[in-house]
Amino acid sequence: MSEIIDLSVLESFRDYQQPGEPDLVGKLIDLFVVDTTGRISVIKQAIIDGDSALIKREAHNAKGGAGNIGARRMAACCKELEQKAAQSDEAAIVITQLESEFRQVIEVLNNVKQPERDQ
Amino acid sequence: MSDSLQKDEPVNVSLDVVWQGGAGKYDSRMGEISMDGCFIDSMGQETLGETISFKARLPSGIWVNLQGEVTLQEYPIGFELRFTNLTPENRRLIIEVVAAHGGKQAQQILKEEDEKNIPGQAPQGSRRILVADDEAMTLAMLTAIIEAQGFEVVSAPDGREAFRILQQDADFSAAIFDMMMPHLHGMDLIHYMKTDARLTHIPIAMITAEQDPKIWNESVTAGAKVFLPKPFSPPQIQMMLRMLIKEDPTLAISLP
Repeated sequence: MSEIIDLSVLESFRDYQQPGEPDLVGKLIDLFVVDTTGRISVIKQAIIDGDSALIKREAHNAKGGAGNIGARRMAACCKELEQKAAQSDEAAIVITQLESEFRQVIEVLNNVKQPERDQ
Repeated sequence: MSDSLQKDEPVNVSLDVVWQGGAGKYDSRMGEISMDGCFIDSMGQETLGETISFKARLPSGIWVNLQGEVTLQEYPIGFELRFTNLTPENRRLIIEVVAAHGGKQAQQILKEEDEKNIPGQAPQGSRRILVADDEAMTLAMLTAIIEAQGFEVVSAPDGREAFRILQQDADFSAAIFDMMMPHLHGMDLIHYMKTDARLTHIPIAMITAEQDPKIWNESVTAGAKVFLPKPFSPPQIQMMLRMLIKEDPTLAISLP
């Protein structure tokens, strides 16, 4: 599981939870998932359109988010996509890997959020 | 205090540096540092007296922009620089690095300065920080950390919104920009801020997932005070804030 995401990164944000405010870690997870889902969708369309600049930019931004949440393998996948943005065949393969990686990250993150809901 | 700085003994370090020489940009290592200067391991032949702009990655992971004059050339081992135009916050950071690596005088200076400053003293003036990042999660992370330090965060989801805010509001103690955002990039914002007299005093930090040293140098040259690569950790953000806010001249940091 640690290969998919380093949860200590998110855990370190528990220290910044303000009393009475919505769960910060849960909020970060939600924002990450919504943001990345949007970016992957944009990248897929950009691959169809052959818009390599857009692929590169969105992959770059997705890399930042993945890195910051501790999903290093996913961040590496984003980096590969960023580098292969101009080669549509290669980009199409990497986006599939990225989607698969993202699904695994979401699965782990859902388990992180679960205890919060049970409280 | 300046006498003690001159006599300071260097300590061994291993810090990444990116520097601009006459023939281009180089990635090297800093092998020694004192409060007065440093030694950069490099095969380059630099001219004595030449001023070199460089970036060094501190043990905390944060890059700082420094400048130094070549005082010794030891080809092909490297060259020695004497720090020039050291800002108060960079001076403090260098002292901290030297102290952390065993520099006795640096440790003593830190102790004296900490005794002079009231612990936890808040900077005067604005307590607002402008943060612009188009990644919502990163923006939320930065906001949480910065607010926990007692600042108010004014957030912008892209460069254009940050630009709109800055056109109407200059009451910020610092600005933190993501480098690559839709509409206007962090670099565009820096250029704008450096041409508007209301905004030139606001220290700027740049954050990015970009690993290219060329990009780091560009933001530094444009006027960013601090450069932080993604991914970042909460302690790195706290340190970045300290570096930025010490720009505030009302902060009680004594200069020699």
